[in-house]
Amino acid sequence: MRIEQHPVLCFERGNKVSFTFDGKPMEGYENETIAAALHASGVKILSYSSEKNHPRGFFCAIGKCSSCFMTVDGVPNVRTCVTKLREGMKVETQRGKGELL
Amino acid sequence: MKNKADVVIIGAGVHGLAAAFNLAKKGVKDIVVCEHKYIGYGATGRCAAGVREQFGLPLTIQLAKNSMDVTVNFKELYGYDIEYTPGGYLWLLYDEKDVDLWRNNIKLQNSLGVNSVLLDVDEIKEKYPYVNVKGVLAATMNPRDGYVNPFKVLYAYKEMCEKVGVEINSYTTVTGIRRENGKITGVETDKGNIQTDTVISCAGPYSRRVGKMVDLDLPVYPQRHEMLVTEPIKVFFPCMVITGPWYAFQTKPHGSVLMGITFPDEPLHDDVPSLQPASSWRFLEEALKVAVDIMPVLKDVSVVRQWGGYYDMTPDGQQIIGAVPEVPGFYLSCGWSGHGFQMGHITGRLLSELIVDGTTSIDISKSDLGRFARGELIPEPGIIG
Repeated sequence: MRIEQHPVLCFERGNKVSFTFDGKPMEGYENETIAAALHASGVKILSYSSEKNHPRGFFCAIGKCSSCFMTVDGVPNVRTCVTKLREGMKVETQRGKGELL
Repeated sequence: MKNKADVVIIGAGVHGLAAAFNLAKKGVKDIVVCEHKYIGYGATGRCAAGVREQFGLPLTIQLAKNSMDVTVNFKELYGYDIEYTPGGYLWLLYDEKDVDLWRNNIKLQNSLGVNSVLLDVDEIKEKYPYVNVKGVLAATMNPRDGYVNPFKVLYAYKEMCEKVGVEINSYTTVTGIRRENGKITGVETDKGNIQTDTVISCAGPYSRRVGKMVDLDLPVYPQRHEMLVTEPIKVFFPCMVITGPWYAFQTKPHGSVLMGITFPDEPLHDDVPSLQPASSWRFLEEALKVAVDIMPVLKDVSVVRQWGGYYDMTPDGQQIIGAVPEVPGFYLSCGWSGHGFQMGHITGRLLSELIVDGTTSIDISKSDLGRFARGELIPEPGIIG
């Protein structure tokens, strides 16, 4: 689902772009965030918590809560709720703490 | 608050609480700790959480090793997990002079039972492949060095103190020390007076302030040092990596990276400045620049917090511990110059021995206050920053 109209915000949706989510091809729009594009495509689980392995989804949407941490183009802990989508991005579910090596 | 005590301790950091606990264990009945803010407000709660045995003087190495023995066995001794995680300090050396210095330090450390080694560049590359060895000539490593959670240590000592009847008064500022005929008779605080003949100052960067209360000009100068911590990432480097002024390591099991860098131009203050902000932009920029250079893999890790605290610096970078002949009944543990956290266990024990038995199991006579007047400084070459 995408919000089309909003009393305060306006959406300057750009061109359609393709990206992958855990290897699956997906589509979204320029100028929307990775998490928004995933949400619109029905993806609800973005990461799994580090201690109890519980699923984590879209929550604060302002880059504060760590719930939407995903691995994007190999970089872990990317705040996908405030990171804009780009053509060809490789987005992956993050399980627990991000791995650098 | 008690109005009479056998011993009053100023400061509820690791040194103050360890001294209180050890005194109580040795049978001293009425012990009162006065803390002007809250437990761990000073250097213990702001420190880099590292413990090490790699020093350059016999006394410091001996103190560090004995304190490390307590750290390593804390759970068996007292039943508290303080998150001691060995992994070693990897001290990178860029200068032939430093390599020679540390080669000698290691010889000394080994002779005192510390198992430190000198690694060559190939060994560093093999064991720590994510460390940039550009310009590195060698590195020291002591596997027993590591991380300890300062808050767990404080909490353990607080509980252990309370169990043996020590009274800890937070938000109680010592405003004066009373003397009659040169001898201590009591302590004045903003919450009332306590009659006592024995005072231990474990006031860290506030030691100079306390010294003035007994007309002592302690050469212990507060100097700001800063730290930052990142979001947690899966633990991948087991050790503390040190270049000299810069250091970084991962806390375990949490995984956040603690990092610090020292600026030689940070002034030495007469007292802890009330107006200087604890943290600076310069610190954030400079610490992270080095981080990305030494460990490029950290480049995408986000910082979540930074803070500052005060080292209690002495002219020779060495502690002042023991009695003060000019002020009978007044004892000091201060001037640790940045390596005090790990020494709390042993200093607490030594102070309790000194006060109860009149003698200590480790000879601490060289780190007395009098050395400055005698001109017998003991410069410690193993200071970080």
